[in-house]
Amino acid sequence: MDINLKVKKNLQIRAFYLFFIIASIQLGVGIIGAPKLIYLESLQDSWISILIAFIYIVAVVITMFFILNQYENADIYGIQVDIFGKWIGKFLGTIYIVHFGIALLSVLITYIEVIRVYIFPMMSNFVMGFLLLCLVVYGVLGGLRVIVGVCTVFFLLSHWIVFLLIQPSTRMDITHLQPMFVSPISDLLSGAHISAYTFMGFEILFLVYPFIQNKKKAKLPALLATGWTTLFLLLITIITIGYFSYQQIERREWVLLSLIKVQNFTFVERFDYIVVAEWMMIIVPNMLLLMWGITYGMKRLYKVPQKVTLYSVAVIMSFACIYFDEHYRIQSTIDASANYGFWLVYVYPFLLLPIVLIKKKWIKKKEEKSNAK
Amino acid sequence: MQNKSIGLFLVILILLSACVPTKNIEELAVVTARGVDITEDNQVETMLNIIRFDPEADSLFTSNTGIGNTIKGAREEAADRTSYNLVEGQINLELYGKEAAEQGIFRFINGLIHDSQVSDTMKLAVSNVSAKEIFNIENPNMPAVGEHLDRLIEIEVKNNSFPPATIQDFTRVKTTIGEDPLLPLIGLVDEKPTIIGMAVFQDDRYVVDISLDEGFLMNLFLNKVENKSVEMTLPLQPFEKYKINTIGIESKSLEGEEFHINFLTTHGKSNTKVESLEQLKFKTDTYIEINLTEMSHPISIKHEKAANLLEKEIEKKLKKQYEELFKKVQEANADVFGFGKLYRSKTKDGKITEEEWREKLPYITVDFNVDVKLMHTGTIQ
Repeated sequence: MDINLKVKKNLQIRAFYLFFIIASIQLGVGIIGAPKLIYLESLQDSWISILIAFIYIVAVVITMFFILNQYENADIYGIQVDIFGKWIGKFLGTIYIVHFGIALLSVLITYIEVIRVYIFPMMSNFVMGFLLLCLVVYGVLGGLRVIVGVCTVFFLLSHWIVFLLIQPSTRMDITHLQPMFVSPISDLLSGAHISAYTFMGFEILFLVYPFIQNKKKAKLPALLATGWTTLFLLLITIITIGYFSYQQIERREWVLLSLIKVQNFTFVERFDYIVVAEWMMIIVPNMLLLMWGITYGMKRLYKVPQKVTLYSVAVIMSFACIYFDEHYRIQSTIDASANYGFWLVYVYPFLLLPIVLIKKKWIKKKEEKSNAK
Repeated sequence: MQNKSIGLFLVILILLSACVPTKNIEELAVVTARGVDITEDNQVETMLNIIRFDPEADSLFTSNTGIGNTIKGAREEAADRTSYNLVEGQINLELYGKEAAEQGIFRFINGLIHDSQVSDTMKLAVSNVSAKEIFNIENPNMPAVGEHLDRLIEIEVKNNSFPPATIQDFTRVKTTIGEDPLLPLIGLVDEKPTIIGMAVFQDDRYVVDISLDEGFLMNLFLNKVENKSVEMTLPLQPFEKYKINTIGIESKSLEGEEFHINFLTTHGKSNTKVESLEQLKFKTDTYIEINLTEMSHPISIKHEKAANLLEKEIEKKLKKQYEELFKKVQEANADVFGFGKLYRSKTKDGKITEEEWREKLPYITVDFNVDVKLMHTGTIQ
């Protein structure tokens, strides 16, 4: 297995698109319910929790760049094999693939549940899952460049939803955010921990990095993307806390959709239907990138053709949807994805960095020695 | 090859779209309004206003009733007696009968929040008789009572007569610690359903009612008010020296003890502060800008002095009205003004329970401070 990749010129993407890749994969189903979960932990000081999470994420992203820059043109699969050897490296790579798989499944079933609760209560899970996966298969067949295109276009097409928050924001009750600075640090940190699932996804950077044309300019768009998602979550959380009372937030599953349900226009009376449907534009890039991560990983580690993985994962997922039709099962899948992903995404890069640096030094010394001879 | 597989995809996609359940509009009966009463054996009785798009029926509007242990149960029972599918997504108004409201309406609202099909912009109202009496009014000009009331409330809210009364507003205020909700009160005037005031709630129980004028005061307190016309009665005596003397007619003193004015509130807002946490003292500054539109007696307000006097009299009157209103709701131990939430936001840890606040509420004092500014007097002075 080659550690460094040779990407053909026509498959490369410009660093600027990294913004859309990371912002698209970070914004997903998590954000619909995240304000509530954060609020339950750190109450009116939730915004501090989100800012703490953001600072932490910036640190993680910089660490990731640091690791990647130690190599000429490698991705995480290659780096792990280089450092830990063939067996452990491949095993760790497989963990990444499983992580993407669980994340993909959790996105898929959460979205299906939202549709079933809001629009079609009688709809079969299998049909919904199958339809969504058709789109995913079709997109992934186009390759990374198509996926990046989808991310960019859908990002631009879906962000008008922010305007729907204007009406609730004018009716906010500022006393709900007061008194400020009362939650203890431990609560703030657990609030930040809870938001980890929503912010997850930027680990895709480990995979797409070799495809970037002008690598020196990659840092800014990646950090801007995390800043954008943070701002988005911050906005939604503050409006949610201001608009709803404690008891209401506590009892609602998807606070963002409840916020949008308040809208009433003469031409469309129920905006929540449109937003639930529109949310597909946010979900699809998400699933495309995750699916691509899986197929690409299988190809890199085990030389399985991407098409084979793609079709088999799609079939497995659409049948898995039938099983995950109960709220509690879906919830435990999300929790599993959040817990498992937390260590992999937020902690692991910090462990990997010193090992990479030590190994590099070691090789340098060895080379010097052999040169001296 | 590529084209073939894409074609196959498309065919499958089109065929699969049939899996989505369909709803033909001719087979639906759309519920537009619902009245809720409690029967003697504590069951829920609902009155439904229904629209049916049946080309063969004489009228679009029909009504139906149902009894059950829950609201949904009552709907099911009503549905058993129609040959159509009853759908609830378009309910615009839910009216609670007096008894039901006095026992607490949150049990009904809870069901509405659970169901994502229910619109969150649905309005709530309370009647001072049973909902059945309101819904059973036969009036040829009014085929659907619910629709009529819905429009009535919408217009009044738009005219800033009282705070908005959607299910969202209600649940939000109800669940906020230290604030109690208000809903429009519907009564029968000359056999016609009319808004006669506002129902004040303690938690989710209807405890006392206030007049429509007081409803405006509440709106001025809670929200920004614009473009609302207000009628007011003031004592005549202080204005004696500003009467208009018509030439040729010997001036005689103005008749009566009071006179009426009507003004347009162009801008109004209130700001409440906690003066003292320990002594439970609050202070509210209300500021309104008005345009004088009508006076029942010929009084000249050409001079600034006269205008100032008028402002002062209106301030005095509003202050008195606010104090009376506050006393009334305080006696009912209902905090429609939301002093409790202000209190909570100023405490150190922000933790106070609903019960703790209810114990404190009877002892709070509020200083209502009204500032009126007369901007224009119309075309005459």
